[in-house]
Amino acid sequence: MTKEVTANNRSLRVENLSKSFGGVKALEGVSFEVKPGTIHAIIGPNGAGKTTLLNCISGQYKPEGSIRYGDIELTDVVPHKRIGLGIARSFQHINVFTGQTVLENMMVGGHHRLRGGLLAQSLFWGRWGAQEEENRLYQQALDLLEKLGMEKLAHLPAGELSYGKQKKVEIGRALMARPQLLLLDEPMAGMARGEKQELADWITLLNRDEGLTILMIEHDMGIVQALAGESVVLDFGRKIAEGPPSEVVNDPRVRKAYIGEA
Amino acid sequence: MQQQIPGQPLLETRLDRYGAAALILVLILLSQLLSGYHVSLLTTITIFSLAAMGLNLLSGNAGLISIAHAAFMGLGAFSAAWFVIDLGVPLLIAILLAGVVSAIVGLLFGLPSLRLSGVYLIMATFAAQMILYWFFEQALWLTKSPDGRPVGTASIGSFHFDNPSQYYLLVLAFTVAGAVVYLNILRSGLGRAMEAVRDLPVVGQLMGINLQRTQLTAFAVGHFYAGIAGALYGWHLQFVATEAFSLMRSIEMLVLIIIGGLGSLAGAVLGAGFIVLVPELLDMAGNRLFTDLSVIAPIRLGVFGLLVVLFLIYEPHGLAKSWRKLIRYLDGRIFKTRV
Repeated sequence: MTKEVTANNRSLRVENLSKSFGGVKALEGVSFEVKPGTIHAIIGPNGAGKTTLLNCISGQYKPEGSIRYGDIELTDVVPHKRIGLGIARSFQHINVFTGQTVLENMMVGGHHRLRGGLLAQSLFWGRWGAQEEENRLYQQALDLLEKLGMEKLAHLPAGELSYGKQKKVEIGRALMARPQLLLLDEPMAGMARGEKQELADWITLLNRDEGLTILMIEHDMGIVQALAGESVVLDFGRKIAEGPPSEVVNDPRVRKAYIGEA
Repeated sequence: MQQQIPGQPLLETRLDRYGAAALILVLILLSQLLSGYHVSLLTTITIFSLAAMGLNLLSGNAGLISIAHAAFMGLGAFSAAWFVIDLGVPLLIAILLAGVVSAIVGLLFGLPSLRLSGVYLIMATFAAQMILYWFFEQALWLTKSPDGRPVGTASIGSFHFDNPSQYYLLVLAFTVAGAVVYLNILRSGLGRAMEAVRDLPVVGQLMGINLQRTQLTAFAVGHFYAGIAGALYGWHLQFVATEAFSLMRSIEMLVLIIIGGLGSLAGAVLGAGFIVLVPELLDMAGNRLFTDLSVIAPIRLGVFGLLVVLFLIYEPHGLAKSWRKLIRYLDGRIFKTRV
């Protein structure tokens, strides 16, 4: 059965998070909170630890410190189970499954909802077969593709799409998971201006209409100020500021780190 | 319980569906009309297709390259013979049990392999091949002699598969069932999961795929196919010969799916046809061209090797890719629309 989406009321609390690679401290004692239903930006110069932070939340890295999602300690949850808690992400570099069709990519996003075992899938038909849930997932993927205006591309190999379209597939795949917390790592990087605007509108819509909490890394301060209500600024693995982006940009520490002002 | 909402079809185009049905009919006809020798060739191709589906699932779809597939076929062949002759288990059940034995042993060898990938995984499967082959030569309670064991003709109840045409129908039934299961897996969550963790393991895991479970399932299912194909092969030759399951045969199976096309049903079938028929054709050509028969074997090997290399250069995605292009083109022509 599909799990009904419960009211989005879980906040993400990062507490005293540290992560080092060999001798390099990529994150050092970072704490902040993402309130449910907000768009929260992570900003900072290159190498500040933004992606590392996202990777700790989604599960690639095992950090020290605590990440609490609602009342669940995320660092105790294996990576492949986090999506079932309602946390999905997209990646900085394109990570679609290039050999699979666009539709199949989307269906992977809803993979965690599938319940059928090996027998149900190999025999497929009949009462105990996987057909019903497979067809349901297929339909959900088609519906979402239609929303994204990509239904015509459904049966093309994802690798044949343009860069911007692949990014869209990737975000669509994350949405297929029906997350409550969406982690976006530079979703607009490398996109054309028109595509950027489209995506920005779309993120606003997801947040406003579906109540999705969004935690995103973004370099473009214009976009951050337009979209995000809250932000946290990292530099050399430490948090140097937080607050609404319009206030944060005027913080002298941020200007120094980010723009290079003395 | 009827399905209203459409989903991923078993076969992509209408031409695929009609073509598959036609192919099965043609195979049934051929098996009844051809001479014993040609039926035997057809049986070998069909059994190798079935085995190759398993290897293609494991190495093509899940990306876990194995050079031990023949050894698992051998395990299936010997276990099936043991079930039927020594324990009196009915044939069909014995064949399925042979698949289960291969699947379980495959799973056991798969466990330590989970931490390995690439060349190291190939080495682990090399070890599996060596250990199993050694086991066949040593475990005489199972294999009766280091060279293998005679199994006679297959029989179900009082029915004996006395002629090859009858036995072919049994082989075809298993292979068609295997093909349907393979296609079902490919269009289900497991199929997508295997390809996802093959291409981008980290991303796949973050999309909720259990990497270990997916890979172990691939090991089990792939070797289940090997076990069943091996069992069928035993009664086809009426002798389970140890040397039929050597490292050379395992590598041949890998070449088969690479030439046929990785990760697809068409790849398994076309590759099996290639690997059995091309040496056969080369033999025929050799017999006409040369009076000195001793030169045929080395020339045949050389030409076969050359063909394999040319294929890898000019059609690296295998025969299945060329086949796919042809089918799509023809389907568009015949039915005007794409399905």
